[in-house]
Amino acid sequence: MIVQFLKDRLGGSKPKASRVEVMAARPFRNPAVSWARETRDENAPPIALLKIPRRKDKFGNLMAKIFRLPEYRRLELDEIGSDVWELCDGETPVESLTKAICDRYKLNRRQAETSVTAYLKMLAERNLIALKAGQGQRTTDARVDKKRKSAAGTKRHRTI
Amino acid sequence: MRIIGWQGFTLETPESCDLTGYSGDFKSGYFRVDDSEELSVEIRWGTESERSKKEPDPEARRDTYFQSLQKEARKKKLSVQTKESDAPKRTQRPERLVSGFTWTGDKKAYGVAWYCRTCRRMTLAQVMGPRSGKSGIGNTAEAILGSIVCHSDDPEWRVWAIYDLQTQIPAEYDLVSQQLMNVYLRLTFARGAARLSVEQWSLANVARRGAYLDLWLAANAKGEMRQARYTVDETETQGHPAIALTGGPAFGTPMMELMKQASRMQMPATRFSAQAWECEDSNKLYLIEGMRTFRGRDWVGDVVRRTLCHTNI
Repeated sequence: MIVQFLKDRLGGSKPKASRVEVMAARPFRNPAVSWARETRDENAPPIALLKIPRRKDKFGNLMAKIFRLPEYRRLELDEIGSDVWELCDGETPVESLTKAICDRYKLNRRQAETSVTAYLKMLAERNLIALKAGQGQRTTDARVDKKRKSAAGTKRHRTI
Repeated sequence: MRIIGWQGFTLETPESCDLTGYSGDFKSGYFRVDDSEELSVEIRWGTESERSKKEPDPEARRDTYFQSLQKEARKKKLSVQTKESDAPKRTQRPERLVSGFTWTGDKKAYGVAWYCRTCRRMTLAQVMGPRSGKSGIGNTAEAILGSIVCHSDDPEWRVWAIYDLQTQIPAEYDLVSQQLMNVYLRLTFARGAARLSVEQWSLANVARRGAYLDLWLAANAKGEMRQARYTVDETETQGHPAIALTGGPAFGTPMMELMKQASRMQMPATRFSAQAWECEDSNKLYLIEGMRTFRGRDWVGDVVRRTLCHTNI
């Protein structure tokens, strides 16, 4: 019990969402990140170029001063990643997003689901997106709701 | 319905099902197919020795399975009710001795055990699903169990069908290695020193992006092509522009392998052939390649003809 309490306090145990919950969740982009599609290769479709602002808290400012960090960090997504990013609009559930990728790149459902969820997880770990629970869906873990609320209200976004 | 083919078995499953586990070989093994939610299919098999004169009893096999189920349930502190039942009609075939069963524990399962006199394999197949509710699996289970075939009608060929790959390989070749990744599949078969591989890449338009096919394959193929030196010719496969590669083993390590084969008193595999193409309709790249002995038959062309690309979509 004590171990569990410590784990919860230290953030060691992450809330687990079922496959159904994940598929119904709607990913949305971190509003602090600005982005645009740009053409890098004439033979390839335009890709998403993200501008990620640096941390603006005391520690971030100090580090920026010491290391002369730029205000923004640039990140280029690949072709499929750009499509996924564009669909992270807070309206499209992961299931529809997966279906769109399936249709566009002619992948089977399982292939697309594995790739898209892994990619979304990576984006969420970098605080570039967060997931809203699906409509009419009850999350089983109170921490999920708590995290979701804090993600929506602050500049740092977390995933369920 | 989706066709799954593995180690001589073929079955029809709902579209959402795919291979999720496997072990063993043609003689004895196991594989599992599921839809990543509730429905799953398991097939276990073992081959009876050609020397044994007595036909094995599927009822005895079923009882052994019931005992192992009970043992497992006791460990997990669950209760399991096992029951003999009539096997679905479509599973009852002239060459089979059949015994049906069901069990209910944390899931509900419908199964059949049978011994096939043609392929001499004792098979235990079961379809598992939720215990109760609207989504009862009775009809689905019957359809899936009825569709299971344990040997092909054409004894020379075996169907291999997983994910989006569906092909046929000569029955004399056994699966020796496989790589089943999310967007890349490779199955390698062997018969003595001869090798035959099927490779498939998804997302062809993104991966290749206009590169010459032979150059792209030289950098990305993981089968026999890596061990070969070859010449490239243009050809056509299933309506797609393709390349045909012919040659022999490359210098260095592949040559050492030839020496090893010769030292094992095997006829060394000295001929390489392959065909590769991009199917734009299915957005996939295919490479069928083989290394064979001087006198060995070149199966590559036949396997290419029996590999489905856009036709199954």
